[in-house]
Amino acid sequence: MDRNALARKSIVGWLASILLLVGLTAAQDAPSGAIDRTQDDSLEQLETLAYRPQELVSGPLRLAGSDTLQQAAVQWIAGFTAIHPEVQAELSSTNSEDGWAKLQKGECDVALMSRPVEAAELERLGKEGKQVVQLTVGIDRLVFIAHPSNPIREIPWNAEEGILGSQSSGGNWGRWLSGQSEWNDLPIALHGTQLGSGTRWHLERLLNGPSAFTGQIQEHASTSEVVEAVAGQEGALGLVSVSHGIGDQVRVVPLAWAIEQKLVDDPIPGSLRTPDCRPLFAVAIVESNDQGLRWPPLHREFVEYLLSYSGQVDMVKDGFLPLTRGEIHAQREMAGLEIQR
Amino acid sequence: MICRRMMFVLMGMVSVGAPVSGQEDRFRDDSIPADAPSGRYMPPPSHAPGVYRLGIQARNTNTGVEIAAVSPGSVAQRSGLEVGDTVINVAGYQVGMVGGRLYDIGDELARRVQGDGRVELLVRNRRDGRLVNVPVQFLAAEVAAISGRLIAQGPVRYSPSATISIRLLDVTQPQWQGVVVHQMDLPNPGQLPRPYRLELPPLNPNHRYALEAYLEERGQILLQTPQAIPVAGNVQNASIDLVMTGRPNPGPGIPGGLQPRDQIQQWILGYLRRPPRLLEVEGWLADLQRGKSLTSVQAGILSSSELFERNRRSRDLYCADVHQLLYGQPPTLQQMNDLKLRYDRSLGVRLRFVEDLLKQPR
Repeated sequence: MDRNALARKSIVGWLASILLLVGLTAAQDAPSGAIDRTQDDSLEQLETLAYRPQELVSGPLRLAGSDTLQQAAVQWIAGFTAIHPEVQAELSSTNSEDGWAKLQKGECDVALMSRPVEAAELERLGKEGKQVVQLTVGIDRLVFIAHPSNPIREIPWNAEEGILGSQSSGGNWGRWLSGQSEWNDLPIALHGTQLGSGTRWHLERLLNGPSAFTGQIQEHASTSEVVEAVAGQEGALGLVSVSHGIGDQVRVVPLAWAIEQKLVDDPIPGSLRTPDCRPLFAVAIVESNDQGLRWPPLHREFVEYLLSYSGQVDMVKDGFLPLTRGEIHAQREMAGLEIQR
Repeated sequence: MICRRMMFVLMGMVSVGAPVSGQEDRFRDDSIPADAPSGRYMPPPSHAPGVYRLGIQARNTNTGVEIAAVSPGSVAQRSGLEVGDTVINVAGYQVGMVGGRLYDIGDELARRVQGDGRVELLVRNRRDGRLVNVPVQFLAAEVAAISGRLIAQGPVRYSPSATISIRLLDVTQPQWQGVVVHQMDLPNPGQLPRPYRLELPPLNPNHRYALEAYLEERGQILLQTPQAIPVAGNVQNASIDLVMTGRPNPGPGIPGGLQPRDQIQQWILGYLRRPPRLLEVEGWLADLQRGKSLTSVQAGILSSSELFERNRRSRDLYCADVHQLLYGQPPTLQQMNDLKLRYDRSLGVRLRFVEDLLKQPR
């Protein structure tokens, strides 16, 4: 018997019933109609994953990267240094690209990223004998937004071609609204955050799939500016995170995807997260030998904290979704942290 | 180790295999055929996850949970499990990666171990690649737990919506205040005194622990142990009575007499101008449970990315908005200059900026 097929069927049935049951709640809870309801996002399921410090640590801890994660990082630092008061934490928030660059130059200990490190980058560092550990520490939700007068109900997406089918421009709204004359010839004006941000990275891949969109995107400095621009232009289409709120001046357009499709980037092992969920990462370069990864005690304790109930509560407080128990165990495995069973 | 009989299961077929010399005596006792359920019923755990521990280190794979280490004297060792064996299922329920999703063996043990501590594992024997059912018996003494009575000192009234929480704290370092390593919640606690049993996760034998308990209703603590009680000697078999007393000053100074949950919801509604979400309220309440103050929760909400984003990530707009939200009016020019100075002094760390603001008398 094909257990995978069984599992899929069971998940489809479950998802359908959950969607029926929670449809109203989902609509009220967040603007996206595509929020993944197959995961247990409660904090209760994480209560047994309390942070259990192994030892008291001290010294400098330098964090740098995505400003999406800035406030969560401030909360992490507050919680972590309450237990380890001799830790001097520094936080530099710009964007994912900057955090990644600083990590490679040894200017920070942990890079905070809202997009994954790409395979080519990992390969290059691997050749230099460096072990990059990329840990998912929470989940953000991205949505496409359009002008409030736009009648579009959903946008079809698949992992190979994104929403534009590998085209280098948005084309016209007629591609999705073909029966509606006033929209047929209206060009799709793409809006997004600046180059270097994780949200922009995701936008390019949601547009064109793994090949990444290289056409014109109007850049903005913040989510709120993307929202304002889209609200002010009839043919606009933008991508923003909803975790920090987007108000009600734009129309949220869910992605439509086949049920077996998963995340647009590296899937979280053991996860059924959907394309509108993006993992948020803490990335470190760690020495390794035959015994596995050799974390410095301070960094190991910090990572333990991020992958604990406390670290996940801090994510939730700034609007993100927590990981599930299974996802946390998968991350702990990846980090070479002990999981006793 | 003595093996009486083994039952091999291969490709869905069950057959009784003859013992193979040198391989057969790892697994003991009779086996039960593995009727793997076709659906995936996920009941809530009967026991706290981590309570039933095989004593293994393991890796999740697409074919099960591969054992990387076995602790000496553990249930796993006694049952004959070895490094390199792969646990395929627990009582018929697959573990490891299934259909792209992870089913944790610890969670499955918490769900599937029977009342008498018995459960069957389907294991691929690393020596010959065959599948074998391994009965595992957890003994009561192996389930680490602290037990005792919960006692209320003095009269107190509470409703069925109250909850008693028992927390195990790691107090190894003097700096570690409120490091909760394990917590058990007892909803609708009924009449006190009553017995309790706190099943424990893996603990560090070199660390020191203490126990505390409190009774909470709508986010307000009505009873609590006056101080954490050190757990002396063998933590895992301790017997401790937890005596809770009424708090002399139950409210942490909440304006308008609101309960913490209501206050948090009101702040989210007022500051972020939208209805509160269940998950975020849970998050802030968890902060209170970890010993943070309501003022720090207020500072957290006021310094949230959402409020900053609403102000277009502009320092000036944000400072003015926070002032308006806290004092009900826009800042004067002088106040605005002071706010900007404070913000810059906090190096753009909004939490620090707001905490600083909340310290000053209004």
